[in-house]
Amino acid sequence: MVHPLDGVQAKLDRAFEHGKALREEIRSLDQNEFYETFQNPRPKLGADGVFWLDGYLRVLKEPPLKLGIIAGDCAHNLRGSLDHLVYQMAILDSRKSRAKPQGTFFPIARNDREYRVAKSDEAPCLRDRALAGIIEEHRAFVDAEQPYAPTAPPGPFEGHPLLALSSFSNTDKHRVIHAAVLRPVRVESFPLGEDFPIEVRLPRKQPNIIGDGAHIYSLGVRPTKPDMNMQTNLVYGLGLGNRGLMDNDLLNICLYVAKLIDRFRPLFP
Amino acid sequence: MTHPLDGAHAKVARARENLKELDRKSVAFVQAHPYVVAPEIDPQTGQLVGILRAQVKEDPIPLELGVIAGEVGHNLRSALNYLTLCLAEPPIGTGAGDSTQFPIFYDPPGSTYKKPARQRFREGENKYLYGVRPVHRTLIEKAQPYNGRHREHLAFLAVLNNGDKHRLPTPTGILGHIEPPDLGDYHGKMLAHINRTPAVHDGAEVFRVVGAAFDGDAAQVHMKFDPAYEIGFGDNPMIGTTNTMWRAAHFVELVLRVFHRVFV
Repeated sequence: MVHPLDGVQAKLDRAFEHGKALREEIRSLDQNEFYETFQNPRPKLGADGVFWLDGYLRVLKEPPLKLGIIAGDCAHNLRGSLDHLVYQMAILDSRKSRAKPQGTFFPIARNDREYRVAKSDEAPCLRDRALAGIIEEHRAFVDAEQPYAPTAPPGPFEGHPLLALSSFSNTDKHRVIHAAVLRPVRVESFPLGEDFPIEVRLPRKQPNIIGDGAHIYSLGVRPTKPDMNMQTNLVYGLGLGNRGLMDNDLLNICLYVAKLIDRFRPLFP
Repeated sequence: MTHPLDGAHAKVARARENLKELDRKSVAFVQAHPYVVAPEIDPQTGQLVGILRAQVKEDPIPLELGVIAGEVGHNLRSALNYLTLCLAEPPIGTGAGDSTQFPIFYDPPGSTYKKPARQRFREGENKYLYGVRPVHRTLIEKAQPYNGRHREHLAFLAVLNNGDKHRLPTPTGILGHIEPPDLGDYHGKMLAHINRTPAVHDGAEVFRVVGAAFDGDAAQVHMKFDPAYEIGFGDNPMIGTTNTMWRAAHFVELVLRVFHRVFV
């Protein structure tokens, strides 16, 4: 190894490869194979004289396990690149002591309490445990990257990329990262044949990930004749993990980690 | 998912995919003949030695091989952990059960552990196998490396996976099958001592001709020597090749098969 961060970079490069492979895999899927929409008319007109049709999701088959497996490999390498970075910092700082660093990892905490306060008198806090052997001056670099720190750059989506990564990586160690249908963010409905207004309502407070039988939309029309035709367009997506991250989100996490690692490079001349 | 162990089997299948890629890339590296063995004279002893010389200045083993080896370890280890979580009956949440995983206890060569692996398993099983029935714990115990017969591949898996958490499982070249060198005129006069397990790096000694000092010109020795070498991963003294990983994958698959009927 020529540079201490060569291994870190190798892990990062591999994570990007998996992120791109996952995107291609998802895009190559015929999503109609996995789910469809069915509509149920409400039996009675609404009080305002509006006739409502409710749209529901029907899952035909689960998305392939392979998607979660590739996402797991991506998360494993990303998490590994951060942990290896901290290991190299520990080697850098313990050169004089010649002690081999042990048990180090890149800590990711939701708040300062989780980061700095020990759970018991016997166990050191997360910061001390993860950054054992690293001098204060260098620990400050890791402190500044904590998701709650004001110095941490904002992520590309709601929720912090490091927290999403931590969740992905932990999930992958215990079970396959679940791939599931995401709630469509936009539903469009058009009248066919003649013009009449259609009201589209999306359910409030629906989770990002939806399952079989989930209520997706409601279409309201004021009936003027017995036979009124309309076409409804909506696009589903596949999301991964509890947060329902999409393929591009994973690549964005890769980019975020790459930039984070770049901020540590000056420590390794 | 139709069977609770589908995820675990998918992880093993992924590890096998990783292994095929690792095999392909390792062979491509080795077939490019990045090293030659050149006869040289040891200035200290005057003996003729065969020294491995890299054809390029820097260690040419691609780090990517270590990354892929790390994935193999991660996926196989995860498959075993998925199994254990399927076996654990209480829901895994906060508190007890957070450490549930497939334990792998072994006695590494030159171990500094105060207690043997079998005893460490007994002491750790309540932590790692929380919620797992005694009958299933017994089966997991039987798979432990200290019970021998192919189970030692799990020890290598643990080394590979634990190492990968902190740093890359640096790929190291290791010499495989070696025939004694044919040293032309000098063959038969002296006894060739072969170093059978040198790590393949620039300057590694592969063989040494012992019995008398060499009084000729090393550059003039016409040598027939074609060592086979492959890529090893892990930490000394537990270095394994892709063959070791294939065997580990096979053993993990066997463990999953044993437990398959538990869920029927």
